[in-house]
Amino acid sequence: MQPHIPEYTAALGEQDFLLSATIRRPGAEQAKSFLTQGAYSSGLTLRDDYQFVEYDTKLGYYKVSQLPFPDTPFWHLYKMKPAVAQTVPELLNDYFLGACSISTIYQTVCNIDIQRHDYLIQIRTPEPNILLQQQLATFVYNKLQQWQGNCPNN
Amino acid sequence: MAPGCLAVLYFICPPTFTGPSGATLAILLAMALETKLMRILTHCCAWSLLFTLSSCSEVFADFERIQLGNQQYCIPKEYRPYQYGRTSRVFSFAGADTDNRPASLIVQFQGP
Repeated sequence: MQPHIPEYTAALGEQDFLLSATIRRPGAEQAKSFLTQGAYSSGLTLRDDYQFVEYDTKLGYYKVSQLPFPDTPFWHLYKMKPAVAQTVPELLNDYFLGACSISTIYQTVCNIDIQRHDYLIQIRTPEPNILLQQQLATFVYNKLQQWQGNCPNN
Repeated sequence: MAPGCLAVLYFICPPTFTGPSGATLAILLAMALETKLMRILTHCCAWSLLFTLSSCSEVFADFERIQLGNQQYCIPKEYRPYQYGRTSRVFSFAGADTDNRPASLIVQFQGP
């Protein structure tokens, strides 16, 4: 990964898989509709027991959980400051950075869905790489184009 | 010799013989093998074998062919490609419900 994205954190050595991608190809319109349903907005508006908020001063995003930090097993990352009266933007990627959890292997792992043309790419990577999500999605998209060309009949 | 050649072709690259074009090829080959021109047949069989081997070389290659939508992807096995079924049920964004999503593909990328 690092030759393609130098900032990428490879925490556990070269034998570890630090990025996985779940790829769907529902079409551009449907992919967009997946990302405009207000998913994960309850953390941004502090509903459904989301009440614990931490601001990461180094990385500049908000962490929200239903349980107190640092013992919570699940938390969400937001670009915007969570508040009861917060307005939820239409597109998921304009306010949400990822859904994270404790991982036995990588300490923390986060998931985020990103659209690239008619693909819906779900990136799964350790939290330190979450701000690289757009580059990672582009990397995966470029790989898909390359893999299409690998097939003799394409 | 002739049935043996056909059998070799079939077992070396089964996918070639599974579609309509494969079936047609198999029938034509079988018809040709019925004629008396053994030398021509031998050449034909050899060329067919060579062609089949080259066209299905991916069977021996280090990648997997995966269909996503109407597009095929030949993915190196180092990425550990794995595909869900077309009607697999997966968790929705909200995490509370499930819904039917289009077939999906999972790949993994190594570290540095």
